[in-house]
Amino acid sequence: MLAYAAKRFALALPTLFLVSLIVFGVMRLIPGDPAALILGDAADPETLAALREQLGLNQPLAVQFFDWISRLLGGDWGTSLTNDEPVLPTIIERFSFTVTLVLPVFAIALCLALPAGLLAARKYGSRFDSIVTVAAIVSLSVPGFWVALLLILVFGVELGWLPTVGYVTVDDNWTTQVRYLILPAAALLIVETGQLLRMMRASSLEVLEAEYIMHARAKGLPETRVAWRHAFPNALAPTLTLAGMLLGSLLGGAAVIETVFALPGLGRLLVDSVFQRDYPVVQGVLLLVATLQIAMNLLVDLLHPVLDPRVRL
Amino acid sequence: MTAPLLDIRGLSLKLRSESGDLPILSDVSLAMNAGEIVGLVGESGSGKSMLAKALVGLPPRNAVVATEHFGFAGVDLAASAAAHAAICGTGIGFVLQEPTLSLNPAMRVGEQLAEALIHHRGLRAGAVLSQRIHAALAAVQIKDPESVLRRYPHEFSGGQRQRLLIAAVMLLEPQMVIADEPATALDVLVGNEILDLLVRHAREKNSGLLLISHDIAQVAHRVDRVMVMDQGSVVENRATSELLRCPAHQRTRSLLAAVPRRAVAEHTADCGRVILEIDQLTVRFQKVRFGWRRAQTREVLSRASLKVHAGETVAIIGESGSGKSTLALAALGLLASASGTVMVDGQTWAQRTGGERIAVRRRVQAIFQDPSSSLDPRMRIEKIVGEGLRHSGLSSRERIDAVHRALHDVGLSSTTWTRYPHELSGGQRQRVAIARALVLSPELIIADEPVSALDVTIQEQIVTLLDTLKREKGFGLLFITHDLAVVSRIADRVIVLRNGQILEEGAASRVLSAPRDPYTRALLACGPRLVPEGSGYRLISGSSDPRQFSHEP
Amino acid sequence: MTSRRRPGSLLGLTACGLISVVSLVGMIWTPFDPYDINLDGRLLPASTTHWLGTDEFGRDVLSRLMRASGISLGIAALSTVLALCLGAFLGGAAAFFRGWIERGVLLACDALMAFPALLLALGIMAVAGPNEIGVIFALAIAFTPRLMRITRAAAISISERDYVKASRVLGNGEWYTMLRHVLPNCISPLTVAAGTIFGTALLAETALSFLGIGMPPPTATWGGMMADGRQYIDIRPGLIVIPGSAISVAMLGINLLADALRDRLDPRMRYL
Repeated sequence: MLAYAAKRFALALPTLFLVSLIVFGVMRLIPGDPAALILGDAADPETLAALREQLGLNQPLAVQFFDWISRLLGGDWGTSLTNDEPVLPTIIERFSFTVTLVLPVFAIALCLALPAGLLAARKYGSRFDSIVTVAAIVSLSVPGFWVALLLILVFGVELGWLPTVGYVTVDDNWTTQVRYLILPAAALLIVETGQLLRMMRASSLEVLEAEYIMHARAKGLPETRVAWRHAFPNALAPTLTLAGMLLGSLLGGAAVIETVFALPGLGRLLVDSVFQRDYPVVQGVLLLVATLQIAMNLLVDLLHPVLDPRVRL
Repeated sequence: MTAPLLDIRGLSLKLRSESGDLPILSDVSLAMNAGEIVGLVGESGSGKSMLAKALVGLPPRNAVVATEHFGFAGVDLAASAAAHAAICGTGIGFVLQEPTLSLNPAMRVGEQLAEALIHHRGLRAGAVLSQRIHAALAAVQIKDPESVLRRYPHEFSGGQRQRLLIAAVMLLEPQMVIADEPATALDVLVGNEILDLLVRHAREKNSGLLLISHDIAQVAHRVDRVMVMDQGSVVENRATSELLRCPAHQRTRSLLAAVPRRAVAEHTADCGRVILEIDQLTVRFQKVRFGWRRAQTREVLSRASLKVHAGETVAIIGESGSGKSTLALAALGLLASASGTVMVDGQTWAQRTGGERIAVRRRVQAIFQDPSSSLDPRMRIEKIVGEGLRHSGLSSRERIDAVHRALHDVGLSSTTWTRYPHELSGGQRQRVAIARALVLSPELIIADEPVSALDVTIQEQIVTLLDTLKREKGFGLLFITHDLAVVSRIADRVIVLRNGQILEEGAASRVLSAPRDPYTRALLACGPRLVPEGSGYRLISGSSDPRQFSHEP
Repeated sequence: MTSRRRPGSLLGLTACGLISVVSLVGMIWTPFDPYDINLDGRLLPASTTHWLGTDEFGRDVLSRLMRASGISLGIAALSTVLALCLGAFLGGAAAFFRGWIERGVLLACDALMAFPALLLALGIMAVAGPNEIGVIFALAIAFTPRLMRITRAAAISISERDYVKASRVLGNGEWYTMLRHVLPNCISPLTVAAGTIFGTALLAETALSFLGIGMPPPTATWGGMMADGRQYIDIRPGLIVIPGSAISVAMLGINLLADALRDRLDPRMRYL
């Protein structure tokens, strides 16, 4: 088990390296060099040259890259071009907000999708199954911002029950905070549950046709045990892979929904920075997001042998 | 006379589909007494498997089952699904075909054995429970129960898993057991043992056993009574000896006729020159080719040598994992890394250069096991057969003629020539594969299990076809199979392969009548025990005990 | 095994047909010029002249909707085709050459897939700037790795089939075998994958244009129309409901059709 974990970890390292290379490379593809971007259009050539020197832009690219990496590892993720603040603390602050929004939503999505998917598969062709199937495909077919705007329209504008936009900071009491988060959370839930539901239903249907399920039933075991003890763990494995990918991308910020509700999350930070051409921040966010995804995949890989003992090495 | 244990009358089963209902079983009636052992035989598609699933109350989702009377132990279950479910496990036990798929891969063996006992008998984990389980494991000859119970199914071989499944079924002491092709997915020797185990257990416990098989020879000497199924109904149902003596129904006769005879005709092959010569061939596969550790290797074939002459049929016999398919690939020059030499016409594959290689390839052709995967699904039959003539230098007219001649030779009517593979039956597809090889007028055809994916009656036809073609065209034939009986009629020489080593080699008549190696003797012992007598057949008793060879390495 | 007909496939076909016709017509003819600003007729409700009303610049909503569907679907289609070509080429190469080429391609794939598709597209747009080619390439690059993986997996599994061995036995060369036997049999799984990716690409395109990072204004796009309509959500909800519904109808059609396609071409995945 430990060897398996070590191996998976070792395999993730080259990917991580390539990811940082991509992030570094993409930012070098930007027309104009970083020094010009920092100083703006009206910079005189001498200051520009001085800043180039200071930023190490005259060095060979490889040197710059490793220099950048070592600064990253040292916690220096650069400075924002818009407000001159260090990038890393900003990113961490935004990320912590995203986590508080995304994790509960994701947990609820799993709690809904996994049992519902299995149940729909057990009652294949029934009314419940039809409802689940339709709900899943509708969830897949509506863009997040559309759901978000619809919720704002209904609950905010028409009914006036909940605040529509914005977020209040820690100073206010937590019930107010939660009120602000209900609509974004609902929007996220509606959009993200569909995929999980579909996957769980599909893999459950497949598992329920397996010979070992027939064997379990032929032994006269009650249906509940067949479903939860025999089918569920086996159907969960493929869904888990998808869940890892979804969670990874969600932690990278629900860019669209955060923007609609004007929430201070990681995704909105990326969108804003792209607008303001604040490249150090874009770079930092992309790097963090990709690292999170790799970590998520690693976690799923490590969970797999627990569900399916055949997965070893 | 007491009432039968199982008494079914008028069972019919339909599968619903978008194109209408598909009848699978019609008006099936059957009765079994307590302690009776009955064989149910029929070709694939005859509905025997579906009948088994209907009997245990687990038909597929889209099936509609109707019965007039479903009596079990004096109770009519036709009316109530709940009552039917209640006899699952304790009333009727069910052993499935595919042992590698029938145990939950994510659950320890111990829990899978214990769960039904806990549910049905109300036992708690403890001494009584584990004592019962140990006894059941001992009954199916599984050693070291403590460690077995802690392990997961994938850590066991197919044969061992089938034993575990049988133990799981037997633990509940059902009044009868239905076993659906329990030996088909296993190697001959192991499968034979599993069948013996089931029969012995049924006799000891005086429980009923319904043994389902596609192979009448496999069950005939084990059962009291045989039921023959054809196209969804039971066409014959009589005591074994009686049925063998004078088979009444056409299907019964064709199933019996398809059983290969042990009687070996003395082949007088006029040995031509050597076409294929394999010398000291050793093939190693790397087990893991991943990561930084250099992986261990496994020897699939060690120092195998053989020769095939023109016009000669050589049979290679071995079970799965014996290295026989690897040998075929090496002979075809498709294996990149191997030590030893494979010479076709006196030259190794490696010695030949591009153009020459292609020319030689065409002289050595192959027929693969499963015709549904060996024909490109996107090409028409004519194209498939004609593909090999691309570089033949023939005009397109001559090519078409050659293709048609080959298709005609293998007995395919011209209506099939422009179809796609999936529109043909299994037997027809294998004929196409033979025609594809034949069209190049090869000197050697390597046939890797060419009939094992086909129904028994079709197997017979394909083997006969190959034999006839060999005599007409004079090519050498390297026939690879797991089934001794299949080759006994056509082989001139037999080579027995096991764990990558050649155990025995010799003239077919000698090997089949006086085998030297104990493994060959064991294989022969579990072959069919039917001999023709008058208008029917007679059972003969087997001799050697094959048990010592069945434990997989 | 026959797959059960889904009632949805007919619905999907209808929705896709409808949207395709509207987009094709919208690229050639619209009731009004979708870019014609008329400050006197701002935010008009639906009427007989303006069937769906006008937006904050007095532009005809129906005309913009029609033009936008052509643009959004066109971008999604072009990027899918581009991703398909790139993915099939790289995946095919990985499966054919194996060895270090395969390892390299797979590593690049892993690295690219570490970025969520939308965020990767965002990042690329940051470099490329808001223009047509940028959007198409950003989406194509974001979806290439998945198609590459599918191609590679399909090609490898097909190369192991007996008919590929049979082709070699007939003396056919590697390239011939690859082109004649392996590639044609990869078409089915790739078609199925492309159907799904097309839907995802459309969703991503609308998200990008909604965020204002996609096609530059005043180009009519569904996402852009919704972004513009946001400010008027309380007085003219139609400005977001109409393009929103159009997206949903298109997505529903595409998803249902992709499912039907999977049922037919790839029965192993028939349950998804």
